[in-house]
Amino acid sequence: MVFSSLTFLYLFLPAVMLVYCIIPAKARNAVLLLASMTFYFCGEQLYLLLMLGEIVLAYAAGRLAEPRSGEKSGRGRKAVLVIFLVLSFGLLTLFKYADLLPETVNAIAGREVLGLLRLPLPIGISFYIFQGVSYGIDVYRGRYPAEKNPVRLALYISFFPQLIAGPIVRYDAIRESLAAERRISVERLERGIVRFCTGLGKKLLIADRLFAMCEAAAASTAPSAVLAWTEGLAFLLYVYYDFSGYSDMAIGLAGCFGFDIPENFRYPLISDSFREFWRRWHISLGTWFRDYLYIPLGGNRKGRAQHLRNLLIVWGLTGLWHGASWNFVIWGACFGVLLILEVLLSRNAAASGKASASVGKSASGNAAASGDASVSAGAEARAVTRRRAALRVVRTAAVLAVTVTVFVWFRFTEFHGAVTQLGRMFGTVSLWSRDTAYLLSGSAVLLAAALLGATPLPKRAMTALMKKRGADVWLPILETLWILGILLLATAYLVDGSFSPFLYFRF
Amino acid sequence: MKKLRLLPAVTFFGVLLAGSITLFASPKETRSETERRLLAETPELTSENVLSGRYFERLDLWTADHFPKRELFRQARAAFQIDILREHEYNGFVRHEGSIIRLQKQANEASFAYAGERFERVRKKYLERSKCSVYRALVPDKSSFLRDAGYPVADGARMEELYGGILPFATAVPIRESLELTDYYRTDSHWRQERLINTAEILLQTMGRDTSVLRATEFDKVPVEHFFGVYAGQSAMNPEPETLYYLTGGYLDDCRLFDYETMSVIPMYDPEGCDARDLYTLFVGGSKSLLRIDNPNAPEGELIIFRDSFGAAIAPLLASAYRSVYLADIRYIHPDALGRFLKFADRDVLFLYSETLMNNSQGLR
Repeated sequence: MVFSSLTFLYLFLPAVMLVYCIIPAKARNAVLLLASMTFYFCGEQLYLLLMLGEIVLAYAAGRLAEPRSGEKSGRGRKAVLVIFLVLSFGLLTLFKYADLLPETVNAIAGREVLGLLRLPLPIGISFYIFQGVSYGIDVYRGRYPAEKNPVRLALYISFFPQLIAGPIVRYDAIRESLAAERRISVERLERGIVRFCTGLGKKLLIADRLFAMCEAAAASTAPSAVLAWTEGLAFLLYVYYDFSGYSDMAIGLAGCFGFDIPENFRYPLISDSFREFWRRWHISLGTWFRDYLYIPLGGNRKGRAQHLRNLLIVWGLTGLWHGASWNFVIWGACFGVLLILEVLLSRNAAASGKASASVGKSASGNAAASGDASVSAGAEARAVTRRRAALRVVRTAAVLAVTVTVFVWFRFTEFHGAVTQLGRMFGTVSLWSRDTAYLLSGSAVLLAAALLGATPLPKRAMTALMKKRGADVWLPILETLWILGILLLATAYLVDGSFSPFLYFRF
Repeated sequence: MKKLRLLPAVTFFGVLLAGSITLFASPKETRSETERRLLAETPELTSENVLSGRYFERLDLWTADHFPKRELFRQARAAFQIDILREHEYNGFVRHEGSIIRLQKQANEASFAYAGERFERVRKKYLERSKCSVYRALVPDKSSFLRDAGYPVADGARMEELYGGILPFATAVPIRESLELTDYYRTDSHWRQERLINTAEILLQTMGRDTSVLRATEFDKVPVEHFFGVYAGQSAMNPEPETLYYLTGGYLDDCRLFDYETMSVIPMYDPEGCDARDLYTLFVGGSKSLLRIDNPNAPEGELIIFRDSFGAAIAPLLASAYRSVYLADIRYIHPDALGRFLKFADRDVLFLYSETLMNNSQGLR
């Protein structure tokens, strides 16, 4: 089941909310757990057992790997953790990556040398395994005590708002909420519903249309470089709206149930560096790899060579996490290389920056000496601000353009497809074609709205409005209109739409 | 103020609850008349269906198909997409100069090839050793008139080339130039009979027949109001209804239409008896496998038309120059069976098909 389905919106969600509101606060975890299991069962019947297995493993690992006072050696605990990690990643490898090697060998050989298992990928396996693993490691490290209540731990791993497409939540983020008797709050409901509807709109009204646009561009019999770039931009925006839309829905729903799930996206497309991009894009995955792989590998503390190696390992695996295809590895590795280049360039820039700063100081010293110090310093400061703003715009555009090209590897699961598309972007076809004008004119409003919505401007405008007088009266009315509009339009799209799965549904 | 803060939540859950209650409480249709398709059936709640996941998949389809005010929602979606997002297409349809058009973006060469196999079978069985004069004409799809307006549609010249390739033994009749977008219904894929006089004349001239009767006849245009074509519902663009006309008068009043399925004479036009959901079927019996139009006033000569639904509107006009016009639709009758009813000796044979059918020819037998 996905959020953007009529079954979820009009059958599952009202039923769950109704029961959740009328039962005593003490029983709410049990109700949510039951709802989560039902939610998962609707999409995966047999694989529900797999998720239950991961829950049992995590529970047992937590209890056994937890530090105990007076313990002399941590070997036993470490062994438990290692077994837990091997089993958890073993499941992930078996169900997600088992065919990658044979497929690669067969592709190189040009015939079927190795047989394929062809196991269907369980929905959300990458998310719930990563949550379980983070819990096991954190308990082993003593960051928090092991959870003794199995319902709470099971709910943490299977919580339906973020079960199938994240964000990847750490246990300590919702531990207190799980233990507390959560009350229904009007404020939380209001915030949660607005957030949920915003996500629903992002997914159905923007992401799905962007994807349709990408498909139309891909199906064109008159490709052009401009069309390929437009398709690339539309695809990047599609991934952003699809995934951040899902995250919004997850955060909104969780909020309605009394949980605060951390943000997963913070306007990544306005980043002026790749480092910043990954601090804003899929934050929960980035921080997971940082805390459980990059830092244990040594991070940037063990010399430059090892730092660069660590970056490549982390980004190669980040790519692989997204799917059993070498294109995903290339996608991750591209970001790894870009981040390495940024690290190297920023060191050079820091060195030259020190030199220019000293020149600047002497110049302002001369100005002060001439008696026009304050006027000149003010003008200079404004000029510097303008220059910086212009530079940031240029850098942001450059980062966006490069990101569009890197995401070509994400779009195509086959090597050949990605190379062909990159070729189109860089001149193997004409610059313009008949279909280009048609597609651009038919998607200009959508692209403009998508680009604007990917910046903080709408939120800033909303914040400014909220400060105006009378906001406590008209804000709920505005929110209601927003909710109503999106809900009705989303319904319109769903009654006349084909199945609308989320891109990250099967990661 | 506190009560006002409840408004978003109350609205949200109110809409969801109202939707779910009406979904179950409202009467269920089995067919969507606007989309001309069967709606999903209620999924069976069996352990096998549940454990295999089929129940949930079907429940999704059922919910979408039976959602209350579904048609209104479809229209709202189309309006949002076309009027707000300013997209050109909705479900593959565009609105151009008031007409609703399904874009045919590419020529389906495999489909043409399949049709070619079926035609070759006809040629070998009936035409190879006959003295028949064989002709071909391809009816342009509505969307082919949009190419000059910048729409990404299949090239008509390429379609003609493919059609010629599968009917190399037939003489081409260039009817494309005689047609324009306004010769088709606004809400339907078909052409309008009252606008086909020129096209019929070109066909008759190429086949060496006398066109004087056709030119001289003053037809009566009989209107059938409130016509919604097949595209009206499928596109969800909520168009105004239009008027369908059929031609009577002159030689047509003496023509008789014989239906080989019922072995009886049936009305040339049957606005009362035709499928009310598809008024275009009022022309010459609608979807029939084999028909014959007899014109007792016409000179000697017979024409056999291998045709799709487009043939229905133009056949009465072609009957002006033939004593008998046979209409064979090999979607509904196997070509091998035609020999029982037709003699292929010294006759004119016309393969008259639309681009739409040639691009989707799987139904040909």
